[in-house]
Amino acid sequence: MAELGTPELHQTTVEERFQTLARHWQEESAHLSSFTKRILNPHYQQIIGMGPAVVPFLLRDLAREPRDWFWALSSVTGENPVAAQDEGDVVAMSTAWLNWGKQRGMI
Amino acid sequence: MRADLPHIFPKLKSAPYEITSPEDVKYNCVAWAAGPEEVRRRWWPAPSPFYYWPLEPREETIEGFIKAFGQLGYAACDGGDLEPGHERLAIYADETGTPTHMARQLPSGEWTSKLGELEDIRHVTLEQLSGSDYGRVVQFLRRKITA
Repeated sequence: MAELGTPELHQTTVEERFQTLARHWQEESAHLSSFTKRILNPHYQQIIGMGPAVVPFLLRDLAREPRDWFWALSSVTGENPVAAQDEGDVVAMSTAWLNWGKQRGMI
Repeated sequence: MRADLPHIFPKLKSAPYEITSPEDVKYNCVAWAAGPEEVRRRWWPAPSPFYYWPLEPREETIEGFIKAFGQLGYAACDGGDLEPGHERLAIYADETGTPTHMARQLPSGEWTSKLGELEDIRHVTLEQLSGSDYGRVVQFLRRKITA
């Protein structure tokens, strides 16, 4: 069993917090088309605020199904691996970010 | 798990509606308003590459939406009555006048809406989707149907 302060517990805490925030964001934003309203949702902003530790969980979630984590990934990492001709294409953007994560050993 | 649409849109049950597609994250209401051929990407005047938008600068205003759909042959008009030979779109906006949603008129006079990343629905009135999240319809667009 992990003890307080161990890396295992930290990982679990980060993942649990991400999953909770992601679920609330999905519930409150899935019916919205507005980019602004979707990313300004407080739960989405808290996910961005988790910083680099959340990136592997965003990528693993993307690997399960395409989701709107692109702004969060770009905000946290300062990167943008998506080609201009793929703008708005959720499947192509997911593929670009997953390739980015694989190249860095994150997934 | 399927979303509870009448819970999200309290006025939805004020008239008939029908779910006409499965949930799909790949396109949103503006893409669906632009046409069924646009269901491979999401439209919004957001920074590239996060969303597609047909012109620059990307303005999240009613005027910006009018200009963007002008690229597709639409122009601003009054009212949402069915007009033979024309296609109509409706733009919803919140209390600040910022666009929130678009619906496309069907040949029957009813409307079709893609609800974010949820389903498409066919709805009889535009009022059915009005409320705290989508606001209300503030602008109509129309174009001639070309064979």
